[in-house]
Amino acid sequence: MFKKLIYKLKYRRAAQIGSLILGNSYFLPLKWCPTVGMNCYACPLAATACPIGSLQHFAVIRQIPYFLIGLFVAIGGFFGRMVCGWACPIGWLQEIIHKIPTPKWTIRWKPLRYLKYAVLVFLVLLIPYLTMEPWFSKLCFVGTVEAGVPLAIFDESIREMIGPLFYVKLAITVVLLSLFVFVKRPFCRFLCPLGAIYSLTNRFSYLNLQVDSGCTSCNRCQKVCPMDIKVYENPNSGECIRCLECTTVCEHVSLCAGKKQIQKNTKKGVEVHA
Amino acid sequence: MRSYHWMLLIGIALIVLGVYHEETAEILANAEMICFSCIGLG
Repeated sequence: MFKKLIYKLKYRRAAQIGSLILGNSYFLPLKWCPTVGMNCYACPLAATACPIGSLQHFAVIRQIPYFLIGLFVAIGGFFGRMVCGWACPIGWLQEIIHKIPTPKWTIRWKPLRYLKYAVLVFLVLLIPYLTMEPWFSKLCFVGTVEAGVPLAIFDESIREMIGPLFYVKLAITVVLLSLFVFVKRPFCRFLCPLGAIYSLTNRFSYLNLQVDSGCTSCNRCQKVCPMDIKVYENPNSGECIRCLECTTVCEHVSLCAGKKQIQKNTKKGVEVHA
Repeated sequence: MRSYHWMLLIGIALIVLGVYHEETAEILANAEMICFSCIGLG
């Protein structure tokens, strides 16, 4: 067993950067494989497929996506929603933009959390199945940021194809990017269909959070939590992305593999047992 | 067996099924063709 201190969770930053590079290394022949986080595969650099775009494509052609469901179940079974906190480029983008120093807004109205399930059921599955058109992708802000805008800027033939839908997408993107400045991870919390899928697996996953009996409900965890949740109320709620920020401020929260504790907090930082 | 064991087992079984499912394999092999319809230009 060896111990290593992770000051300020630099491993998470490294994982987020690594995931962004891996998902957008154009030279890698991985388009057949969906990436684990949100990453538009129409992006000129994308090496992997978008899991939601692929899921929706299967809804459009009315086929059962065995491979995708298997991928979601296997990843969710091991990591739960940890993928959102450690490997999603869009989650990272939201965290970076939220660091802009402005007054912050707190949105804690719980029914908004269920909006992402509605997006998954209606916009990703049901409407594309009925209309045979990929409506989530047509409105997806990730596609606008990573593919729509860059392609429109650099490719004249694509610029000529721009119609009213593109401006709708652009408006959605501007609203969301502005919201990222003021609200903690609003896309993950309220809109992301991939987050909705992984959140269903959170309470069953191998990696999980545990809060010990010494917790005093002081709410320090909620202050640092990018998802703005009270970790002690339900450490394995569908909203927790297991970013482990809470473990840097509280010694009563720890990451466990099954029932075995693999990481606990110290006064200096996070200590990992491996 | 715990719930995550079942999830991993079912997940891997579905991935294998997906790889050998003829239509799925064909779609995944031509994934790049899907991209253009997703940009949502007009």
